[in-house]
Amino acid sequence: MKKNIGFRQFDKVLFFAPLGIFLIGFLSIYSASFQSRQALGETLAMRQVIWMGIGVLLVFLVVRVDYFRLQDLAWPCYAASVLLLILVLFMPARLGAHRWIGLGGFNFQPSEIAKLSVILVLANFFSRNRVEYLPKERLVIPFLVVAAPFFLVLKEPDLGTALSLLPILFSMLYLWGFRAKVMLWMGLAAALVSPVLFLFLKEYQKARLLVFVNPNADPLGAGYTIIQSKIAIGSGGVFGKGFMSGPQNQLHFIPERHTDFIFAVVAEEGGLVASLIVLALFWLIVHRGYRIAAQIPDRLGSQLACGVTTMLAVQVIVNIGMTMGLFPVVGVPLPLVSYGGTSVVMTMLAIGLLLNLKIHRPLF
Amino acid sequence: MKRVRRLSWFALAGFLVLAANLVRMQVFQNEFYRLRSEKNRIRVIYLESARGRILDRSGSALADNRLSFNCSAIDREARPFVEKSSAILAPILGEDAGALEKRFYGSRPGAFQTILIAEDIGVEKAVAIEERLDLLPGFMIETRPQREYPHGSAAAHLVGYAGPMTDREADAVELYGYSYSDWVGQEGVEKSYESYLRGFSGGLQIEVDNRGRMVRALGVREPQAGKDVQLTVDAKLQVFLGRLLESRKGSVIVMELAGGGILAMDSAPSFDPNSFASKRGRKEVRRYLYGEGSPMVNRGIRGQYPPGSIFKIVTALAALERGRITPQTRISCAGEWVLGGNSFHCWNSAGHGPQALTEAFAHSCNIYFYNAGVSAGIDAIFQKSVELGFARRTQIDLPEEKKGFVPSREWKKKRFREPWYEGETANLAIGQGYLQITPLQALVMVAAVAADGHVFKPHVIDKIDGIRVAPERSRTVVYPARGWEAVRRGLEEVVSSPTGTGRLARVPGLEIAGKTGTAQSGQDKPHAWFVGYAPAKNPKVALVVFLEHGGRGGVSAAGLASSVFKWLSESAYL
Repeated sequence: MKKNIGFRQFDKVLFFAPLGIFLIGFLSIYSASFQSRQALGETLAMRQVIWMGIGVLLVFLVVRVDYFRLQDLAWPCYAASVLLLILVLFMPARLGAHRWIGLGGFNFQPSEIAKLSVILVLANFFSRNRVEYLPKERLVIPFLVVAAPFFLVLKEPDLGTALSLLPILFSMLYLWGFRAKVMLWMGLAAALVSPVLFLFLKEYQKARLLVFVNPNADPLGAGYTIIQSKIAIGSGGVFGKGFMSGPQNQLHFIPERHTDFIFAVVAEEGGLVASLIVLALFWLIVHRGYRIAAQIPDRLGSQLACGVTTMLAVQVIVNIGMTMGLFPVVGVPLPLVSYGGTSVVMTMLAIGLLLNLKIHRPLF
Repeated sequence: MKRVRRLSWFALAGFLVLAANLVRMQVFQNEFYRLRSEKNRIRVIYLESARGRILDRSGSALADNRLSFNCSAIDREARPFVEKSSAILAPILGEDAGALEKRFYGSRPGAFQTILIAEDIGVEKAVAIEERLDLLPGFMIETRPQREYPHGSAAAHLVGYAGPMTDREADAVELYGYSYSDWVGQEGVEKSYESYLRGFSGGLQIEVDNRGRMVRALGVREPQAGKDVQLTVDAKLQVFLGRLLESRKGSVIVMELAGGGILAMDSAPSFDPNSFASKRGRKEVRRYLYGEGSPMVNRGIRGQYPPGSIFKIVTALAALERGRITPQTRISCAGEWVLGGNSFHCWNSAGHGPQALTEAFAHSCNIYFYNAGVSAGIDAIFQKSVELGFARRTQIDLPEEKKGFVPSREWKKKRFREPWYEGETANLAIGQGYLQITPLQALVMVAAVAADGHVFKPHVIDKIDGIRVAPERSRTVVYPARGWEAVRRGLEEVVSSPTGTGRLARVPGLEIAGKTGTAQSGQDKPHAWFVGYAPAKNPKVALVVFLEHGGRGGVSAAGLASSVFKWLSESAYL
């Protein structure tokens, strides 16, 4: 077994596509959070650059490590993130939710870390056990692995992040060889259970889901966000209203416009052109990610690549779909575009992992 | 790795759905969302225009505008802080904080409209609030032109008043570019010259942020003020008449014979049009509308009464025209006259003896006019009264004039299926019976006598926006000059003769002609009339004095007429 550690294998597309996306995100955050008489250094956009810097550094750190060594870190990482998820529930609430842990002036979201550690543990588990030989009773393990962070994140509450764990689990199960038919049945069961689950949701979450069905039911309340975001996107047209000139954005009609609804700003000010560029760059990453998953001969790497790529793809589809009213409003950031340090760092970590997989994959 | 490829396709499908939806929204539905975006951020603030002023003949204002200050609030911004804000506002406005809160929560403003908290609060309060606006989020001081009537009740019926539209009016005039908040003339000149007086509201297009705060102005359409309307009316005479009629019921109208312009028209009891111009007058308005005495009715054009003896002028003209009498014809009055078995009385039961037309007028002898009327016949009297303007509108430029009523043979047949009786002609001849006239019609009749048969179309308008629009005299009843002369001589005697019924109307140094009337009105005191003109030989001004249940015309009405003639003469109108 010979490994190619040369940087010839460094995937430039996979490295520069995120930078391109980040650049669009940087401009959008600047535009969305602009306040007159604010020095560039004080803007949110510049803070985002600092996070990106950390993210890029992490990429170069991560690519040097042989990913097989991550196997040993999987369970400790998972345990740590579950602990953090418990800890976050005791943190003071911000915007009505316990999502952030303050750490020396920085706030970070344990749920973002949890996503990656769940992928690590699942990849570890699936690579060590073959679906054909696994005793039936041990089959619950991957589900339990996901269930713990799922319910903890749901408790924060952060419905979007909790739900985004499910596609990751299912994609990795599928890759593992789990029968698609069984998963379909599980999905059906979940659909049947969800009305019961609905009862356990917070009032605002219920409102958001109901409003998703009919945004005009409460145009000034819960439906406001969707309506304003759709107006922003639609009014952008082909070429957009221009940088810093989107009325929906500049006049603050879009709530959460520099975080979850940043795509509405991109689409309003950059138009169809910018929107499609963002989509295309994301697709490049996702496409590469799955290709790596397909090319890697060992199952650990393949599972890691698949989990990470699915995580990114789901976030992109759910976030953009949500701004266009195709999904209910759930708090999922758009990777590298939405403002938020944890999301940027964790996304770059995921990118770093993909680069690492490409470089360190075993060649037979 | 087939399974990875399938996952990849799955993700690609998701991306393609997103892309397709982007194209749909940004390309095909772009127009729809663009409009929504505009509507979101662009608001129109109405800039209320000032109504045109209503001026009297010398240019002094009968209806004017002044700047008024309203305290209002923007619903969404003010709502979270209403309690705190009300507590700050209450001492300034001198109102209870609870009441202010109640007003805030009680109103349902339209989209982007403000909630009116206090209307017309005066400069001091406005400044005091303006200084504390930073403590009053969502509150503001709005300025708007406020209609004002300097002479108050004195010219109320003539000038009328303007007020907010009723819903039905709003529907009716929507096409003409009115908005719901616009004021329209509701009465008098304010109503009849609405199309000139109204201004066109302007608009300020502003861009607002999500909290409705103005970011910048996008465009402005300046409000267009209405045109000034100048009347033939003399405000001083109007005020004088107002004082004269105080605590009475009735109407006095004075007309210039040169062009048929109304010098003054007063009706009592009256109302203060200023009460309609703001919400503070609500209590008075309620009293005006539902209280005693119908103060809102302009008795000069909307009151219909039996004319009594002033109608003898018509009877005389009809008889003269038919040749039934000549000015020299003498008819003897014994105080009683029998027709078809019925006995008719003169007001003087002792009788006036034999009289010619002139004396008969002076004494207002019923017997003479019974004879003259019966000999002329109902048809002649009916025709003559219509010629002189009865039973039809004078078409004065004031709204909702009544047309009165003159009975005729045809009408009686249709109405009661009965023939006309001569006894009814006798009654009609002295202005009783079914007859109903407005004071203005009485004035038009006497003016025709004074002006050799010119039947005027009276008007109050003189100029609009500085351009003379007063109409010429209209409708002339052709009649031999002799007849008018004879009647005029009679009317002169009414005032100048020592035994004339109208001698109380005399003014030293002024020749006045006129006719008194005392019209039966059921059980109550009779209505008192005086119609006349002066100077008798060269008539310049005609007038009518009508007092509802005012007693004998020769006493109350003639006395009042004297005061008016005196004022006119002192003010160089005669």
